[in-house]
Amino acid sequence: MTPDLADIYDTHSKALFAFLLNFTRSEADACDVMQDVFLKIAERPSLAGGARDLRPWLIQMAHRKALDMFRRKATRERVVLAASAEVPIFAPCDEGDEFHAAVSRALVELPEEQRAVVHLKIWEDMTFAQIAETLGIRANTAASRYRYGLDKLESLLRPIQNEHQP
Amino acid sequence: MSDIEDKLRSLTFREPPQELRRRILAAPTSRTGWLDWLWPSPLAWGAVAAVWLIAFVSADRPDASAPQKSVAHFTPASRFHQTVELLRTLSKP
Repeated sequence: MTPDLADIYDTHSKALFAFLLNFTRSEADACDVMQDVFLKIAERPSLAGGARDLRPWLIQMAHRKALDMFRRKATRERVVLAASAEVPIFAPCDEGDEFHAAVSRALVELPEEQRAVVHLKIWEDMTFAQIAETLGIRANTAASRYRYGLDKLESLLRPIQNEHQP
Repeated sequence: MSDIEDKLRSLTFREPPQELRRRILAAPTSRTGWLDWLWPSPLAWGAVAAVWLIAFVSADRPDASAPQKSVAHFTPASRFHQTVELLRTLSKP
């Protein structure tokens, strides 16, 4: 059975947008890729109907489209990434905005491939096998990228976290 | 799991802009017709069509090794004309 486009959007758009915003570090790019992904489904609903597990499949498609977009504007990529630490990726909250900003900056320090793995592991709660399938890499590659990424985040965030601890 | 992982997990990402939903859902809906029917494997269907085309073309081409017929070419029109001529001849007293 082919799921309804609005249902797919309402169920998965938050997760997809979070992944794309973290990965591309540009709201405009994240929106463009999301639109591409959903347009593809609108054109061929059977694609989504055949996807075994929709969330990883959507992220896989979004990841590929984001990489294609990076390749298309490869000459501008450095400029985009340099400015990208300033793009707010987390929902505003009363407490801990400083920590949000620090995490956002720390995530930008990670190479794209580590950032994608860290995102899927922490915020999508995927296993390394699922991450590997989604990103088209091996499970032990996913595990090592996660370990490197987390170590780097820890080294960048530990001083800030210590500051805020009573 | 480290405390950094816990702390990161508790952060909430921004939501997609409201107008994005409207824009996406306003996109043209599915193509219907022969493209959908072909979709499961357009490549396979294309290959089958190509094989049929090649088979049809090669079957229609005259075989060079076959002996030439005495009557070079018969079209339905010439056959009809010959039949009319034959009937006319036979009907003469």
